[in-house]
Amino acid sequence: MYTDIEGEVFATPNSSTPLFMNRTLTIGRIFFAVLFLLFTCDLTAQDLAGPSEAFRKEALQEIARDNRKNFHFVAAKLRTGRETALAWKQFDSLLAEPTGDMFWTYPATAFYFYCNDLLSEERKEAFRQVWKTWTPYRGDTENHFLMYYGTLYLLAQEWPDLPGSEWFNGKSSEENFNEAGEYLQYWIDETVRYGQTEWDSPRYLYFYITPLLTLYDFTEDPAMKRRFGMMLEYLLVDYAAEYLNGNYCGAHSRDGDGSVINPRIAEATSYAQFFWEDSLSYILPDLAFAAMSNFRCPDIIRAIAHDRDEPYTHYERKRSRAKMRYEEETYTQVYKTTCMTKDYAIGSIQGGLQQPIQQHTWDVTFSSPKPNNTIFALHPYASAHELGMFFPEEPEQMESGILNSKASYGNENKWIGGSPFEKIIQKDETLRATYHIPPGTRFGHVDFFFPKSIDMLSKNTNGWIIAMFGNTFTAVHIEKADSLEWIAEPEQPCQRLRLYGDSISYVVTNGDRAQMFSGNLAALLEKKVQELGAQEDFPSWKKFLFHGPHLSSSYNSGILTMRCNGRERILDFEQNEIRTQ
Amino acid sequence: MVLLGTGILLNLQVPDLSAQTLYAVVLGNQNYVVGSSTLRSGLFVSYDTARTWKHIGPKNLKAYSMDAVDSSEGRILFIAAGNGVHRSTDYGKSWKIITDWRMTEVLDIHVDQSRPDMIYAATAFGFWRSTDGGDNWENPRSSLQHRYCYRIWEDSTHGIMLQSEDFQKRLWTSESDGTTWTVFNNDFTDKTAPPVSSPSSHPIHDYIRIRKENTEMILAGTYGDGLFLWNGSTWSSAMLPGSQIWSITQKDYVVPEKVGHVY
Repeated sequence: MYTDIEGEVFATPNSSTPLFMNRTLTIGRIFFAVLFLLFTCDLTAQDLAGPSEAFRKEALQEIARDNRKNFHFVAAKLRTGRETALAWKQFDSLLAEPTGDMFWTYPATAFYFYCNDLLSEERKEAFRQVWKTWTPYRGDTENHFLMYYGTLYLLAQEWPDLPGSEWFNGKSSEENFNEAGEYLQYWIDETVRYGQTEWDSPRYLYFYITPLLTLYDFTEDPAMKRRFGMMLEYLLVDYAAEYLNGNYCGAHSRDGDGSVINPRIAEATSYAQFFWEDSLSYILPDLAFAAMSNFRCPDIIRAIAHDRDEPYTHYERKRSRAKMRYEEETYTQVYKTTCMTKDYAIGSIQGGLQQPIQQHTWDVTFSSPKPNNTIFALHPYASAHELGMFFPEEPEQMESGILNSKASYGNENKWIGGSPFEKIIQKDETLRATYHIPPGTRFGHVDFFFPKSIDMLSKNTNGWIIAMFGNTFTAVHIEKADSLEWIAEPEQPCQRLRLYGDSISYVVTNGDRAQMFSGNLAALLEKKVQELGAQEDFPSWKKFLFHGPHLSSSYNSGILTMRCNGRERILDFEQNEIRTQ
Repeated sequence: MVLLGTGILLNLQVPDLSAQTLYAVVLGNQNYVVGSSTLRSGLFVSYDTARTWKHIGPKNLKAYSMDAVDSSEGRILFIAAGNGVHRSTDYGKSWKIITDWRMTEVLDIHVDQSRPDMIYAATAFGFWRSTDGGDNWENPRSSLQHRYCYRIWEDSTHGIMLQSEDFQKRLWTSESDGTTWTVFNNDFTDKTAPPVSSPSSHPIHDYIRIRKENTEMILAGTYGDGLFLWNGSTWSSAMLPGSQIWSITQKDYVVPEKVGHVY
C-alpha cells in the first residue's frame, strides 16, 4: 500500500447505501483507515524529522559567531540579530567585489533568497546589478554547472522580464530561465538513470547541498521544487549507505589531500553531523543555509547511516568524468563495491583513470575516533596523458603548468590519484589489486598508507602484514613485487610501504578481533583469498545503479528505493513523486 | 594558410599595415588553474600593430580563439571560449553567449566569410555548426560528432578543414559544410614551429607575420609571458605580460569609413 507523502489519505462514504450498512461501513472504514495509517508514512512523521527546529537555531547561533567575511556568516548574523552592523558592512563589501565565479554566486544567491526580507530595495538592486556587470565563469565540473545554472534559474525566476542587456551573458530572463531549467532537468535525469560523474566525493558533495537547498526552498514551479528535494535525498542517501561514524568510506571520484588520509575531516562530514548526528562539532559555512532551510532529511536516511548491526555489501554504478581524448566513450562505467560493518568498511572501484588528479580508488576505513583511521594503497601516477584525457588544453603544457602550480600532482609520494595500470576486484571484505606498470612510467612503485594511529602493526605474520584498529584487523598479502621497502615518515601521520616492480599484486582482507585471535587466522585468510578467486569480471549487478540491503535502483529506471528496519521510501523520478511504505 | 602535401600548415600571409586589426585571445594568466578562469583573460584587440591592446568582452573568460565577419552594419565578433560561443554585433561593446549548456570547451570558431550565416565550431566534445549566424547550433551526426576537435578553418581547395585528436591527431576535410567528413591525413604535424626560439621560458603557442613600419615582423604569443615582437634580430615585448596566449588573429578592416569603427 502506498500513499503520496505530500498527498492525501482518502476515503469517502457512499450516501446511497442504507444507514446501518453506512454505519458498518463507516466503522469498517475507520478500522481499515487506522490499519492503513499504521503502515503508512503518516505514522512515520519522523520520516521528515531531522534536524529539529531547536537544533537548527542553535546551529545558526553558533555559525553567527564567526566574523569572517562571507555570505554564510553574514546571513547567520542577520538572522540571529547578532552584530548586524558588521554584517551589513561585510555584505556591502562582498557585493562590491564579486570574485571566484560560481563559488561566489551560489552563496550570494542563497543569501539573496534566505535573507530577502531583510534586504532594502537599494541592496536588492545592487545585487541585481552584479548579474548585469560581472561575468561569473560557468566552470567545467558537475558541481560547477549545478551552482551556475541553479543560481541562474532562481534569479531569472526572481527577475522574470529583463532583456538580454540586463544580464551578464546577454540572454534575456526567459532565455536564462529556460536554459537553466533544461540543464537542471537533464542533470537530474542523467544522474538518476546512469549515475553521477562526480560521485561520492567527500569534498565536493558539500558544494551540491546549498544550491539544491536553495532551489528546493525557492523554486516556484511545484514539480521542479519536488524534484530538487528528491535530488537532495538522493545525494544524501547515497552518502548514508557508505557512511560510518563520521567517515565517507571507500572509493571516491574526487578526494582531498587532507581527507584522503584523515577521512573525518572531509567537508561532507559537516552535513553528516548536522543531518544525522545532531552535532555541531564540525561547522562549515554552508551549514548556515541548511539551518535556515525548510528541507528536512527523512529519518530513513539517518537510519540507513547508522544501521550497521549486520554487515552488508553495497554496489553502485557510476560514470567517469567526461573524457575528451584517448577513450572511445565520453563516459566510461565505474563499478563500486563497498563492504560495510559496524567496525570498518572496505570499498573500491575497478581501477583505471576515471577522474583526473584526485581519484581515490580503494580504502579500508575504520570506525574509530582516532585520526587517520584508514589504510589504502595507490600507484602514484602523473602524466600529460591523464591531463589530456580530461582537460582541453595541450597535454604537455598542462603537465608543466600543473607541476609548477600544484607540486603534489607530480610527487612520487602523493596519496591521491588514479592510475591506468591499476585493476581491482573485490568480493565482500576482500580485494585484490594488480598493477602492470610499463617501463618508463614516471613512477614505478605502489605505496601503502599505514597510519601511525593503528593499534598494532605486524609486518610479517606468516607472509601477511597485519594491522589492528579497534575491533578490526586488516591483513595484506603481497602476492607479487620485485621488492618492498618500509619508509618511516617523520613528517606524516603514517608509515609508508613501497612496493617495486613492473608487475605488482596484493590482497587485502579484513576481520574482527575474535577471528584474529581464534588460532585459525592462517586458514581463515587462505579461505578469504580462495573465495575471492580469480574473479575477472563484475557480477551481474551491472544492471543496477544501486544494489544492496538499503538502496536499490535498476540502471536507467530513474527510481531509487531506500529500505531500513522494515520501512521503505521510493524516489520515483519518472513519476516525480515520493512513495513510502 | 597553405596546406602542404606533407600535412604541414604554413602561414605565408603578410598583411598590409593600413587596415590591420589584431586580436589576441588569452586563456588565462600565470596563476591560472586548469578548469577555472582568471582576470585579464579573454579577447584583446590592437589597432596600432601591437603597440597597445584593449580588453573587450568579459574580463575573466577562459577563451581560445576568435573570428569576425564584416557586415554592412559593422563588424560581428565571435569568441570561442570554455563556456561557449560569445557574439558581439556592436563592435564588442556588448556580448551574448549564443550557445547553451550543451556546448562547452569551444576551442576554435570559423565564420564562412562568403556566407556569414555559416559558422563552424570545434569543441572538445565534437564538431558543431550554426546556419543562422549563431542563433541556433547543431551537432551533426558524423565521425566528429563527439570527437575532440581543436582547430577549424577553410581551405580554398579542400573546403572546411578540421583538426581532431582521440588516440592520434587527424586532419579532416568536408565539402558539405560539416555534414560528412573525410580523413585528409592520419598523421600530420601541427603548424610549423616558429622560425625563432621563444623569448621566454614559456613556449610560443601561436604566431603570425605582420608588417610594422615597413618591416616584416613576427608577433608571437607565449603561453605564460604574453606577446612579443621579433624584428628579425631582437625580441621586444608587445604587452599582456603574464598571459597565456592561445591564439592571435589578424583581420583586415573593410567596413566603409562612414560606418567607422570602435573595435
